[in-house]
Amino acid sequence: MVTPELEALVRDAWKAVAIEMGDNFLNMSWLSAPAQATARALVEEESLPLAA
Amino acid sequence: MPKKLVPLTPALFQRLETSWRKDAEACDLDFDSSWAPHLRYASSLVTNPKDRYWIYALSHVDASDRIRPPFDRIVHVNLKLPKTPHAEVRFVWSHLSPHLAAQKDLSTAPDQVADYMIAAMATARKDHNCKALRLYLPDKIDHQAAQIFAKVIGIMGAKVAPSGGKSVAKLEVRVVGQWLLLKM
Repeated sequence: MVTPELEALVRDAWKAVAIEMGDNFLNMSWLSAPAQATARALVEEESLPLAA
Repeated sequence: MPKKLVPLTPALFQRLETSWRKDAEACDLDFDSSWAPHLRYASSLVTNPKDRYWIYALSHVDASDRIRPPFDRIVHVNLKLPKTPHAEVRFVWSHLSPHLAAQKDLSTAPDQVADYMIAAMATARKDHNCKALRLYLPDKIDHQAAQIFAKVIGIMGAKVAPSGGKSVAKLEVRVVGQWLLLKM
């Protein structure tokens, strides 16, 4: 279970990360459209085997 | 309404793809180049499910557990070493929806990342009974952000008292290679 306190900690921590990184934070892949040229390659490359 | 990661069925996947295509056109983004290749791959997993591989979508879920789009992102999830003490849920790749990718707003971006991580933690515990999970860090920027996140969690205190409880909830965070490892 994710408690409200744990959730608040995670939210506060990511806010701190954004302050530390500034606009560069927006370049995280988790916040970006998939890269056009590499979209297909990424799908294949990142589908890692379970044993990795 | 809380956000949760929900496993995509073929019907839900169809709704997501239609919605994202419309959003991309409205935001003047190239759906066919950026999203379509990922969605084709995701579609193959949704329509032909494999053991221990899933495609989830992050969306609002109401009190009756009904999904309330829009869909924020899709995530490829797999399970490593199931039914062992070392079981881990791995969130391999995640792709943001066109409507959120178009926003690029530093005031809301931390909550987008937190929504994903909190939902991933809940999914690991609830759907897979795992206390450990990994989130993939494809780029240097992701790696840098994860390093800072781990440091910040360390500074803020890894132990958080749950509401009304006497015990403490613990969160351990480490960057391991190209992964952000969380242990609850």
